[in-house]
Amino acid sequence: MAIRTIKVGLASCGLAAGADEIYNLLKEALPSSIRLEKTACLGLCYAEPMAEVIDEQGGSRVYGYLSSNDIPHFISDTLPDRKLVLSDIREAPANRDVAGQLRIATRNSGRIDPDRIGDYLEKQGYTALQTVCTQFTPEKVIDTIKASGLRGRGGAGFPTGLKWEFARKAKSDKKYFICNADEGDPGAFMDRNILESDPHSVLEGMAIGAYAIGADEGYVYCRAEYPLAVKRLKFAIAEAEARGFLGYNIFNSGFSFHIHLKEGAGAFVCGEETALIASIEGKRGMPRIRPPYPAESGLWGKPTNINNVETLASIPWIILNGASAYAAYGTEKSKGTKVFALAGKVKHTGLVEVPMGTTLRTIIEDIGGGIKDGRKVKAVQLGGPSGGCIPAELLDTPVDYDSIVQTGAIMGSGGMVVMDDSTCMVNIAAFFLRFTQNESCGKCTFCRIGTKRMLEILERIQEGRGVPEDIEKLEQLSEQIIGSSLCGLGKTAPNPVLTTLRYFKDEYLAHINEKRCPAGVCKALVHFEIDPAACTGCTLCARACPVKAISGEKKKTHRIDQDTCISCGACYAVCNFNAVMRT
Amino acid sequence: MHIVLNHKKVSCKEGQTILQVANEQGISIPTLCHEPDLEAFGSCWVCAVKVEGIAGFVTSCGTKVRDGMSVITDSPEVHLARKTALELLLSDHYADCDAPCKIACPDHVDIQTYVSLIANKQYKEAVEVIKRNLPLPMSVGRICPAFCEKECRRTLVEEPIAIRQLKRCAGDLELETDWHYIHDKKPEKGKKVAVVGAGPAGLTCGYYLSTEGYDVDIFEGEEKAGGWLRYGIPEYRLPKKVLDREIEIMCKNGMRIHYNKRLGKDILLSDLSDKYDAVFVGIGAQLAVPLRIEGSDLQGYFLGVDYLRAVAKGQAPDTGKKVAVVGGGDTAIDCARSALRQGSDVTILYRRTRDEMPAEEYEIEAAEKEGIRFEFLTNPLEALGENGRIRHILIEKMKLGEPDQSGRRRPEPTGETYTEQYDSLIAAVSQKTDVSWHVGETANLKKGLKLTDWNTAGSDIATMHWNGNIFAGGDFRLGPATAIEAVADGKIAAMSIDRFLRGEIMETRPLFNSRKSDKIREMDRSEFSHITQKDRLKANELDVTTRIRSSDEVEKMFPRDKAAEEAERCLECGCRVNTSCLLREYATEYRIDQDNYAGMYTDHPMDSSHPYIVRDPNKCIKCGRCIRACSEIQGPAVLGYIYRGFTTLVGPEFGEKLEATECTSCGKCIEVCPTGALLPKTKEYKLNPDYRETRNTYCTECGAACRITVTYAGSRVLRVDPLKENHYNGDELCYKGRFAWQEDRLQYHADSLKEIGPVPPGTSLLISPKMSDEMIEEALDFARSEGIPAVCTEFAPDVFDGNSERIADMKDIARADMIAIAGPVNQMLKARVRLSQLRRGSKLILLDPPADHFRRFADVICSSADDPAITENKGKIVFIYNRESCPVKIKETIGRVVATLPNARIWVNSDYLNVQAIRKYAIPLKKELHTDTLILFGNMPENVTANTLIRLPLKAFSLSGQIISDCGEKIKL
Repeated sequence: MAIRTIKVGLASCGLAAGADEIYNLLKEALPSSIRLEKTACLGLCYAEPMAEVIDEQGGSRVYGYLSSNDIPHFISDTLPDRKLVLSDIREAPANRDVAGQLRIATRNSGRIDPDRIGDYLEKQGYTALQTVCTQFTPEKVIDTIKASGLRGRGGAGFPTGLKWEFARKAKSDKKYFICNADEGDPGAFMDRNILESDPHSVLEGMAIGAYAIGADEGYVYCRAEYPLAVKRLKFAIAEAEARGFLGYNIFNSGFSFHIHLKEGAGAFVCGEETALIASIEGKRGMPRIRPPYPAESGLWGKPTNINNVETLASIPWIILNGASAYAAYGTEKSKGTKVFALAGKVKHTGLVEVPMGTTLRTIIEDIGGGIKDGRKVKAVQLGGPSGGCIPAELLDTPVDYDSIVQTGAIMGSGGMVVMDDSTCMVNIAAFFLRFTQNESCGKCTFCRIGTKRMLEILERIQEGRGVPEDIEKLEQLSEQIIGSSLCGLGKTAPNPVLTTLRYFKDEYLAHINEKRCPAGVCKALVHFEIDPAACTGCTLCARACPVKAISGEKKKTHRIDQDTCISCGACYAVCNFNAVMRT
Repeated sequence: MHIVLNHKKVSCKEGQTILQVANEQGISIPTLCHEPDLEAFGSCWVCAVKVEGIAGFVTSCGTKVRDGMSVITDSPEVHLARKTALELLLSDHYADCDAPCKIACPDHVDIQTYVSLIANKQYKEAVEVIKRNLPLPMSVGRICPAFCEKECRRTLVEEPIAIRQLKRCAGDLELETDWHYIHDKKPEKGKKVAVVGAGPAGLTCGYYLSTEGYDVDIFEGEEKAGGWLRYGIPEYRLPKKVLDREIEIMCKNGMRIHYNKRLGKDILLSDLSDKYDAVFVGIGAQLAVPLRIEGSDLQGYFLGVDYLRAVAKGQAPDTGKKVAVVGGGDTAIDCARSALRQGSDVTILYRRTRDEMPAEEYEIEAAEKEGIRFEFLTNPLEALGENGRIRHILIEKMKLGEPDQSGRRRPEPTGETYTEQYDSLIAAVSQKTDVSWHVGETANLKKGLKLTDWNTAGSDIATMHWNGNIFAGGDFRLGPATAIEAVADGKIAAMSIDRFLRGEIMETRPLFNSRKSDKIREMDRSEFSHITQKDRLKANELDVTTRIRSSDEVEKMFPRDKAAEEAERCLECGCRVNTSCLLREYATEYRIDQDNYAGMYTDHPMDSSHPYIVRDPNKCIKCGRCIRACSEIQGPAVLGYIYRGFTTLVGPEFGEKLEATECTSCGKCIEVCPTGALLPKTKEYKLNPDYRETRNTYCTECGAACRITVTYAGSRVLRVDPLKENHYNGDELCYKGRFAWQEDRLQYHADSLKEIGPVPPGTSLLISPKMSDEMIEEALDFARSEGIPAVCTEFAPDVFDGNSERIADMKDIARADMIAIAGPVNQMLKARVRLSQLRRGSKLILLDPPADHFRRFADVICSSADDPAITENKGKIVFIYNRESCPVKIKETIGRVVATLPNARIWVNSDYLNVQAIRKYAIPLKKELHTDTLILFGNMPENVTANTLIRLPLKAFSLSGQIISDCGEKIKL
C-alpha cells in the first residue's frame, strides 16, 4: 500500500541514536507524494531511531533500529518485518512490548509534532482549558481534580486537588503557579520526554491550575540540561500566546495567565519546592523551613502552587474525560496512571505508562521484555537516589504509593532502574549516596556531613576495610539524617542504603566479614586467576588486559601477575573457555 | 494558648517558636545557627526537639507553637540527635581549641598566650599568665624538658619556638628587678592545710591554697626548701639564688615552711590529718635504687641521689681521680657533670646505646662537649677494691635484643667481660620514695592509705585525693618524674582541696578540645609551606673551659628584645575564642567524641587579606549567620555559600578574598559567628586566646556615642566591641567604632595640659570637638591662664540646633511607623533602623541615599522630604541624618516638613562627639587661623590631618611638646 506520511521520532533519545540523520536523508530521498513529519518520543528508547509509516488507509507501522541503509526501503515500502516494533494491527507480535500500557499523560507523545500547535489542537488541545474558563468555577475545577484522585507525580504523592485548594484559599493580591520540570534523578526521563513530545499539554494543565487557584503568572522551572525541552517549551509558549490560549483574557473569560520559562542551573536540590522558589528569586537554591508552605508564602512571599510535569500533563485529560474516567484506573488510594522510565539491565528500556496497581513484574518482564543476556533480575531501584531497592522476591508488588512505601522504597517520580545478578548492592547504595552527597545543598548538618560519613563507611566496606560495627553505624546515621533534615533530599538520602541493608544484608556481611564481593564488582575484593587446566593459550585475555598483567606464550597456559592486576575483570569478560576464575 | 512542654502544660503566645517558649520556661536548648532578628534558618540542627505526631525531629528555632502541641526537649533520643549533630560538625572542624603546646604541657600552662605577650613586649603580663598554673617560672624555665616544644607545630616549618627559654626570660624579671607577681590573696577562709614536702609539688599546692585564703603550713625534712630542685638539680643548671628568690615570692601570700620536720620522725601524717582540715603529701622520690653488685660496700661506691645532695650542700665527697657513673638518665648526667666540676675524669657506663638514653638530648650533648666519656653497652658486674676502696670495676659487654615494654631494645649480656681502673662508682639508675614512715601510719588513720606496687601513692589522677582529708601527688605519686609534672599535681591538688573544703565535688568536667591531630607527627607539613623560615633563637652558653672549673650557670639568657622576636615566630595554633566558643561549650556539655565520625575534613587556607577581619574556613560550621547578617541586616552581602555537598563553603563569591569584596568592615560577621571562623584583627599586636581586662566606655568617633567595651592588656588596646547592654546601639558598631582606632591619625591625647610648660607668644589652642565637657573645661582654663586664644574646628550649624523637644531617642526609632534616613549616616544607625524594620515592620524611607547596598532595604527612595510618601504619613516618623554630611537643602526641607507633622522626631548625628559643649562654652569656630604655634588638644576629626598641618606653614606641636612643623603662618582647619 502506498505510503502517505512518514513520521520520525525526534526526541532526545531518538536524536542520540541518530534520528536526525535518518530524517535528513529521508527529506532528500522521499518523493513529494510522501509527507515527512516530525514527532517525538514513542517510549521505545531501546529501538531508536524510529519512524512511523502511515499508509493511505491510515494504517500505521512503526519501524525501529533504523540506519541509513534503510532509506531506499522506505521509498519502496519494503522495510523488513524484523524492524517492525509497533503495528496498528492489534494482534501483531511486535505490539507485545507495549501491551498493558495506558497512555494518559503521554497520550500525544510520538503522535504529534510538538512544534505544531495545530497537531495538539487536533487532539482536542486547549478544549479542556476552554471548558474550564467558560463553564467551570475555580471550585468546580478543584472538585473535579479532587474527585479524580490525582496525586502529585513528582514523588511525594500529595493529592493535587487538595494542594490547589490550599492555594485557592490563601488570600493575596498575587499568586503564582509553577511547573516543576527540574527532573534530576539519575535514570529518569519522564518529564523530559513529555516536555519534548507534548509541551502544550503541560502548559494547558498549568493554565487550568492557575485558573483554579487564582494565579495570573506562572513559571516553568526547567533544567538547562534539557535544551530540546527548553527550546520546544519556549516555542510552545509563544504559539499558545499568539493563539490567545495564554496571556490576557483567555477565551474572553477575563482570566489572564502569563508563563515564564526559568532555566535551572542543574542543582538536583532545586527540584525541592522551596529551593526551586529561591532559585527563581535569584538566590542560591537552598530549601528553607516549612511551614510556611508555598501555598501560603511561596515565590516572592506570595501564595504559590507547584506541580510536576506529569501531573500537569494529566490535567486536560481529566477535565475532558471526567474525574470518574480517571479514577476508574488504578487502586483504591492511587488513581490513574503512572509513567516510568525503564532503565538498567532490562531488554526494552524506555518510557512506559501503566495504570496504577500494575505489578513490577508485569512492567519488567512483560513490557520490558525481561533481563538482557539471559541473566536474572536481582532488584529494582525505584524513586532514584531518594528511593530504594526492591528485591526480586517482591516483584509482585503493585505500583501504587502505599504498596511501594511498604517495601522501603518510594514511588518517586518514576525512575525504574532494573538490576541483574551482576550488580553489587553495596556498590549500588554507594552510587546513589554519592549522588545525593554531591547534590546536598550543604545547609543541614546531617545531610552535608552525615551522608559523607555514610558514604565513607560504604567505601571502606567496598575496599575490604569494613568492620561489623559499620552496619549499626550506617543504620544509626540513616535514622538521624532522615529525622533531622529540612528537605526531601536529606530525608530520603539514606533510603538506598537502608533498603539494601534490609534485603541484601548478606552481601554487606560478605564484604565485611569474608572480605568478598559476591557480585564480583568491588575491585579491592575481587581476585582473578587463570585455571591452567582450562586455558588454551588463545592470548585473548592478555590482549584485553589494560595493564599488561597477563603473560604467556601462544597456546601455552597464561598467568596473571597479581601485583600488576587492577582487578578490572576485562580478562574474565573476554575468556571464551571459562579459564579466568573470579574469587 | 498552651503547649505541653516536657509533659508540663505551659502557656505561650501565637507566633512564638518552641525555642522562645522553652527559654521562657528556663529550659536551655543549644543553638548555633539562629539569629534572633532574622527568619529561622535551621541549618545546624543542634536545637532539635521532638514534637508528638511528627516523624523525626524539628528545629526548635524554626517551629512555631500550635495550641496543644506536645514537645520533648530532653529525652535520650533528643540528646543523641544533638550529640550526633555536634559530632558531625566537629568531624569537619579542622582546628585546635587549645594549642598543642598547652595540651602537651603536663601543667597545661597557657603557652600561646604568654608567648604572644612576650612578642608584644608585655613581659610582666606574661609572668602573670604563666603563674596561673606555674608559680616557679624561673626554676622550671631553666630545667624543664619542655614537653611543649616537642609538640610545637613550628617544628614543621624549621624548629620549635624556644618556649622554655621564653618562660625563663619573662620570669627572670623577678630576679633582675624588685618587681614580682603574685596573685591577690583572697579573704581568709579560716581553714588550715598542711603540706608535707617543700618540693615543686608541695610549694605549688601551698602557694595556690594560700592565695585562695587558706592557712598553709609546709613541713620540710631538709633544712631548706625546693626538694629535688635544690638537692637534685646541680647549681650550674639552676643557681640556688634563683630558687631562693622564687620560694621567697611564693611565700608572700602567707604560707609558712617548717624545716627539718621529717615525716614519720618529727611529724605524723595521722596527727596532721587530725589537726588540719586537709593534708597534701608531696614527699618526692629521693631514695636511690641501689645498683646491686658485688663490692657495693667498698669506699668509693656512691648513690647518685646522695652524691648530688652532698654536692648541693657543699659537702662533696672525695671521688678520686677516675669516676664511673652508671645510668643513662638525667640524674646520671647531672652526677657526671658535677663530678667533672670537682676535678675528676668521668665516664658514663650505660647498658644500651646513646639512642636509648632517657636523658634529654641537650644534656647529653653538653656532657659530651665538656669531655665526659661514654661507654655504651656496658654493665658493671663487680667493684673490685683494695684496702676497702674501689680500684677497678669488672664490666660486661652487652648487646641489644628485642624491644621491651618501653619500646626500647633490651640489653642482653654477651658473656664478654673486661676490667678497668676506677676510683669510684656513682650509681644513678633510678629513684623511689622513702616510705618507711608508712608502716606505722596506716594503723593510725581510720582508713588505709594505699601504696601501689611501686610504693607510690595510689591517689586519684584527676583530683590527687588519696583518702579522707589526705591528698598526695608529685614524684610520690608519679615515681621519679619532672618538676613540671610535680607542679601540675600540686596545682590539681590545690584546686581539689579547695573544692573539698568547700564541700563540692572534687572532679571537674574536662573541657572539650578540638584537635587538628593528636601528635605532631600526624600533621601534614605542607600546611605550613607558606610560612617564611626563621631560625630559632639560640641562647649563649658559658664556654666549656670556664664552666667545667666552676658551678656557674651554663645557659645564659638571651636579651629580652630578642625574646620578643623569637616569640613572634609562634604560629598561634590555639583558637582565639576558645573561652567563648559556643561549639566548644556544647561539645563539652554533650561530651562529644570528635573521632566518632572521623573522616575526610575540608582543609582550606586562612583568609587574612582583610585589614581587620580574619576568616578561618576550617572552623566554619556553615551555620550561615554571617551570610544572613551581612546581607539582611547590614546590606553589603559579601558572603555566601559556594559549592555543594560536603565541600560546601562559606565565603565571598567565586572564592575571592574578603578584601576584594565590598565589605564595609562593620564587623557584624565577627559578632554573630558562634565559633572562631571570623575574628577581628589588630594591627601590630599578636593576639591570643586570653581576653584580658575590659573597660566599658563610650565611643568617641562620632556624635552617636555608642557604648563600647574596650579590651586591653596593660596599656595596649586589643579590641573594641559593642557593650551589648541595654543601650541603644545594642550589638551594633560601625567600622569607626570597631576598628578605626587602629588607624594612624592625630591622636595626641594627654592626661593633662599641665605637661606643657609656658607657651611662646603667638600660640593658639585647637580644641577637638571630640571631647568631654570636663576636658573642654580644662582646656579653657589652660587657655585663660596662658592668655592664648582657644578655637575649635568649624562644623555646620543645624536647623534643629536649640530645638530639643523634637529630638528623637532610640525608643522613638524602635517604635516608629516610618523612618527616613537622609544622606549618608553611619552603619550603626542604619543597622538599628533595619532591625526596627525587621522587628516592627516600620517603613524605611531613604532620602537622597548614597549608592550603597543599604538601598535594597528601602521601602521608598525619594529625593526630598516633601515627597507625599512622607508628608501624607499619619503615624510616628523619625528623620535621621548627619549634620556634616547631609545636604543643606534636604536639612531645610526636613525642618519645614517636621514643623507640619506633629508625630515627627529627628535624630541629628554628627561626626563630632560633643558639638553641644562647643556651643555651650561658646568656643569660636574657625575655618582658618593665623598663628605661630598651635597646640592640638584631643583626637582631631578626620579632616584635620597631619598632612594639612605639615603642608601649611606654621609651628605646631602636640601635647607631648613635640613640634610637628615650624615654618609658617596660616592653617586651614
